[in-house]
Amino acid sequence: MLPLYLLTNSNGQHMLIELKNGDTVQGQLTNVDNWMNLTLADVTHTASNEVITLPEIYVRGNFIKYIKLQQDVIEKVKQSSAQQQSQGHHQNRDFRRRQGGGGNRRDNDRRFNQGGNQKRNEGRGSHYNGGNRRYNNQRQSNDGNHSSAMGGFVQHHQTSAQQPASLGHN
Amino acid sequence: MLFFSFFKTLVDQEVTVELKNDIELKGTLKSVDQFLNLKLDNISCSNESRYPHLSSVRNIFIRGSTVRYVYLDKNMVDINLLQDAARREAMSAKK
Amino acid sequence: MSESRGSPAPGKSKITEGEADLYLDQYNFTTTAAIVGSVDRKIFVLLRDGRMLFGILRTFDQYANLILQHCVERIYITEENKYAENECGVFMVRGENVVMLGEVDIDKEDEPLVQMEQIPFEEASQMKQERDDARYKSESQKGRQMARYGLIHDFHKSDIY
Repeated sequence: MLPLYLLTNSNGQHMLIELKNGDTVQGQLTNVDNWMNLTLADVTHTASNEVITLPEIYVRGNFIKYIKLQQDVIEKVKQSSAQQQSQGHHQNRDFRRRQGGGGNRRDNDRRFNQGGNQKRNEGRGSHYNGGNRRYNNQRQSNDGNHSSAMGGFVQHHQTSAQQPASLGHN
Repeated sequence: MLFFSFFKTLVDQEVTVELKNDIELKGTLKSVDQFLNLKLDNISCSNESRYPHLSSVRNIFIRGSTVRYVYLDKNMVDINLLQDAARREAMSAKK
Repeated sequence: MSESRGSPAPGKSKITEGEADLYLDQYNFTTTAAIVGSVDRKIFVLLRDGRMLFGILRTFDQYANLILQHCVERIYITEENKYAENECGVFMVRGENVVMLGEVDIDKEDEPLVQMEQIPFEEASQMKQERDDARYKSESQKGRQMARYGLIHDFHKSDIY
């Protein structure tokens, strides 16, 4: 579980952000992107004893020093990702992210396997969802609007239905 | 990447790292990465007063950008190898 | 932290050796290779603004962004043999602000503290503020002096570690 994964999955939680210049921003997380740029709602901004309240704020990821999170974030995010998993969401986002640049390599790996040991290929079949470029792209577009667990469920079945087809193509 | 390669040849040797905050840490160089972040094992600190807990620290990861100097022993450096590598680097830069 | 890859037993938190190899393979000679061994251990982190954090490293990424659990900020006032602590829960630190981090031996960790007096955190952070201000003054004076000789003294206000 990467730090950014934890953050993207703690939407709605309360947090305190200290900026590089020492100012602090407190509020409820509404959105995060891959650069750690984020938006907060119900914000209290503190700059050396001067306090301002704002309905919303956008913070550039670059300018963050640290974020103080709720005590229970780790457990909560773990729980929700476990939930997604148990609903058939095998290759959660974490796995996909870690593959990152490695995706290509996996694809090569797959071609190699296909020519050779069929059985081994089957045994590792569950991984290939993650390595499948098409699958990745589809899900990525979904990342932003934070699909519900149910949405993830449906998505998964669509892709697993596609998989035999894409294997056949190669 | 010359310095990265150079530091890779120093892995497992004992070096002293001086940080920009004047702290000197001596330890076995365990790893180095492309940003010249360093990882030291079995560290000891010459001026421990500022950070008393350093005595209880076993290994340490130092961000490359905070390093001022790395002290090396004379015989750790293979001058010929280094000169060769520098020439090769210069050649490849010309192309 | 559970690195879900589908195949290993669900809920098993440690990654298997093969997985760790694959993981390291991609990140060989990167930040990741250096701190992967400190996961789930108590570490200290020194930030560029001089803050010192102690906590359990739960996860990190290639930028050395860190998640620390049970995080404690500690200030040493060594001149007066005093220290102060402030508990701050779960922390996420952005990698660029890290000066150094290291694994702490929890058996020896308290040794220097027993001879020191613990004071309220507010008081200590006040003292640290004064110390930092003085440091800033002297450093910028030094900078001006060196500039007279055509030398650069690289010092930024946010860099007082």
